[in-house]
Amino acid sequence: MPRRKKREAKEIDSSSMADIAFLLLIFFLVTTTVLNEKGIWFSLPKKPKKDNVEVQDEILERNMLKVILNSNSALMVNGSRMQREDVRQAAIEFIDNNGAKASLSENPKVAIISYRADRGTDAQTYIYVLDALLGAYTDLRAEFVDLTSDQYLKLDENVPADKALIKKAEKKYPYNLSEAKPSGEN
Amino acid sequence: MGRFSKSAKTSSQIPTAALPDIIFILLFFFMVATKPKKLDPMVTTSLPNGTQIQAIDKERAEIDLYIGYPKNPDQFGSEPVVEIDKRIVPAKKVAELVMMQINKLPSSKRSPSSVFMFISVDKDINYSTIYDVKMELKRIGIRSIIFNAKKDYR
Repeated sequence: MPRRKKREAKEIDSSSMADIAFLLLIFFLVTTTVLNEKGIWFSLPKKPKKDNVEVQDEILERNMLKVILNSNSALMVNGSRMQREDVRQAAIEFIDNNGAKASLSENPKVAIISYRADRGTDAQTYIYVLDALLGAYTDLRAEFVDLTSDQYLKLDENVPADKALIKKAEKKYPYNLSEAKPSGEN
Repeated sequence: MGRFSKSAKTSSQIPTAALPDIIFILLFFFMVATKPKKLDPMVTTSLPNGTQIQAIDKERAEIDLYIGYPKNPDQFGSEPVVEIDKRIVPAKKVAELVMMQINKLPSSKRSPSSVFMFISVDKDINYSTIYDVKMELKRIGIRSIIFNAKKDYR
């Protein structure tokens, strides 16, 4: 057998290794994303049981805030026109009235916001007003547990201490937002 | 002056032997810290703004839904449609497809009341489609909806 010459290189040339790693790195940079998904939380009502759909206590008119959007995306609150920027404040006043004004709610537990959008309302306005109404609850709850609204939104239900705060705030200001059917639906 | 001539003999090359290792560490960091991008939806999704933005609960299963105008109107028409699992359907047929998605989930997460829908709505459509989709979701017992929105700094 012919012996190999000692002079042949024993090392593999690794100078291109960095280039290969770079290519992989750039591939991962391009195809992945670090963004966490976030959005406006919102719950649908439970499916009603067929027998007791109509069984409901009568609601006093003062305990109901009617928020209506028409097909031109114009906003009406309790029968009068309102700019959409003002609806958050109006909702806060309504929920946290505690019987002070005769036209607004008796207490946060019975205060119901009825939200109705028309089929022709544009999505942006619909989400804007929904966001404002949810924001009213957040503002009140956050203030109740001595947090800013942003801090309140960052509370994590999977952390026991946070969950206790959420429970406490939700007990004081329960979420009573009901979405009515668009006009003309049955 | 002669004293300086000594230094001329030192090698001026930077050792690059450790460079691949450094790059690999960076690579692993990105592999762990990021997740794959979703495919571009086939419908328009210019997101509305919102203030009540909350992070989604990672413990629960998520199903993505896009509502918007088809980007390819020749094929899918010019009315708002719903995209789910890379398929385009009219709003009234969402329930079936959502149930199919739910059945693909691991059995511990399979109940409709515990999954949430991550809905990206185009802000230029009207409420009609959103309402139809909501009614479909309600019908199969979905409880949580998240509207995708951009943070609005007011």
